[in-house]
Amino acid sequence: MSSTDRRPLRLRLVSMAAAGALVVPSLAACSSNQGDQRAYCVNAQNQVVDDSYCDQGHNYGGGLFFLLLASGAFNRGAYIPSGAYYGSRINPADRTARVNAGLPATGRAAGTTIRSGGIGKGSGGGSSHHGTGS
Amino acid sequence: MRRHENGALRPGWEAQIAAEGLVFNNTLTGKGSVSYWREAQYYSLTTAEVDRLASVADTVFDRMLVAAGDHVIERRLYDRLGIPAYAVPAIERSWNEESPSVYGRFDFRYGNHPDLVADDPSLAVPKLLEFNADTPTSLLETAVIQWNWLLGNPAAAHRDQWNNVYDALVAAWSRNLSVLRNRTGRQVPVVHFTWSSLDDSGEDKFTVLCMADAAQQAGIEPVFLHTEDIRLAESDEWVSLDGTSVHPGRFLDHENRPVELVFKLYPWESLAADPFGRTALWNTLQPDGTVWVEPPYKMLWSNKGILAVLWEMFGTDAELSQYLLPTYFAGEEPAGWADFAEKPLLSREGANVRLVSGGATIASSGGPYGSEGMIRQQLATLPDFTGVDGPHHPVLGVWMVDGQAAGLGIRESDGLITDNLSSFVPHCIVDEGTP
Repeated sequence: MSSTDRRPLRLRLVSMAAAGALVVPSLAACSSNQGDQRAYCVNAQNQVVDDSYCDQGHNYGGGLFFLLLASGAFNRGAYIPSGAYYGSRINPADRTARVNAGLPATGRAAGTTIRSGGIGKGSGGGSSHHGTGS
Repeated sequence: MRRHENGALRPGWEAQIAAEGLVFNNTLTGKGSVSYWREAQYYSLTTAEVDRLASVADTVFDRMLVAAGDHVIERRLYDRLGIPAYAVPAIERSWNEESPSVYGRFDFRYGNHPDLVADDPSLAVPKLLEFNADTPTSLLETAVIQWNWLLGNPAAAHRDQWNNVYDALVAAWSRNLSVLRNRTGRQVPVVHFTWSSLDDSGEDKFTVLCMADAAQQAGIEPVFLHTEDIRLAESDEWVSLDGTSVHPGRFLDHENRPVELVFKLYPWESLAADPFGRTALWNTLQPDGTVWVEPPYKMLWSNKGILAVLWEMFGTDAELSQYLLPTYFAGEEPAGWADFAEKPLLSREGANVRLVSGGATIASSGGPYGSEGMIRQQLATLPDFTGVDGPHHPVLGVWMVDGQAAGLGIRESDGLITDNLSSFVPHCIVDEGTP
């Protein structure tokens, strides 16, 4: 009744994990979550400008405006201080850099917020207290 | 079907099953540490009984559940199942597209032992208790632990087992990915495998790893992630989604790779209610949206309301009704109905179940469910394969892999409700007249 050869089933991934040799990234469990990040459109001084300056309609910043991922809320005209942003400024025309930062490759990117912690029992929405299976 | 107590204890069996992934074997209870795995006890079934279970499972799936899904969608019975309106487009899209789906587990009441059947002939026929269609567990125990038990325990020497689960999973991943790639043109270079970070027992993690191992055998590159670490890149715009508004968004992993296809051991009804839930459902409708395994339509089948729908559709069918228990949405049962099992629509692991006999509650369990609505299923107490240590009530879990019956896992409880303190008992095939 089984198509498996009569050999013990040794699952490599399972065995490695059971032996402690498979480390699964666990940002949620160790609370090293970076928190929400918002993509701002800024000038060369990291001053927030209108999101549209980084759009296609403005030639993706034209070399004058950049995308910058930062935590916290900043109004137009505010300067984003060091320590509040992640990585370096991104040329809005650079598709690869946008994708690597988690932003859409094309189209509007300023105004995008990147968040985690919104799915799972630790998110506040799940209701099972002893396993999620059935 | 019989229960045996003459199994041997394999030398070092506890260490062996832990090395094979059953790291969550010991459960602390008021009586101390209890082994979830039964090493020296097992059930046996005949080839004919296994064939019957497989045939009934395939029949329930092919001839009843598919029709029931169509029925719910055509009549828009979502309110009856407690499904929010904003989940409906994703459910219908995934149903119509036959989005990738790998597995599910039927729980059957069955006890084809001559002594038991003499008292209750209905035990000779498998009857559907529920369909764990979205997040079934005991996968590792079924596919791996009991298979290795069969090969290593002298009590089962030279026996066979109904267990094609792992091989069927490998084939299921291969087929589903191939179909998805052909249909959408998406290459899906990696598949993400996820579970909640709050799983402190290891059960969810090792269930997912078992699944990922099968996928890897199918040529898939797995990436592991906690559900809480799934990132949402969300626009500040608003779009409409069936009466509500959501922010459009895309899902990324911890390295900002797009999450194109994700296996989740996390219930859809919980996900839908989570902070990212509405966007997740909206996102499934987009051409480049994340494909979730199991798909959103599993909200129809994993919901216990589907049992009432099945009875409404097939309760008068002479052939098919024999595999069902009369079931109604609470309050719609026949007048004077006094013997039933009351189950919340979304209950898991036996939580908030109440057994009523002669109008009196004979067993009940606590838990967080029930406000979403209930069904009442005719009381059909589980068979009792009494052993030297007392009663044993088995539930037969038939694994459906890619829509076909693929194997059997049996859990038994001392009490009448199979809950998260039940034990997993291996099985083998013993035909009449064989030594």
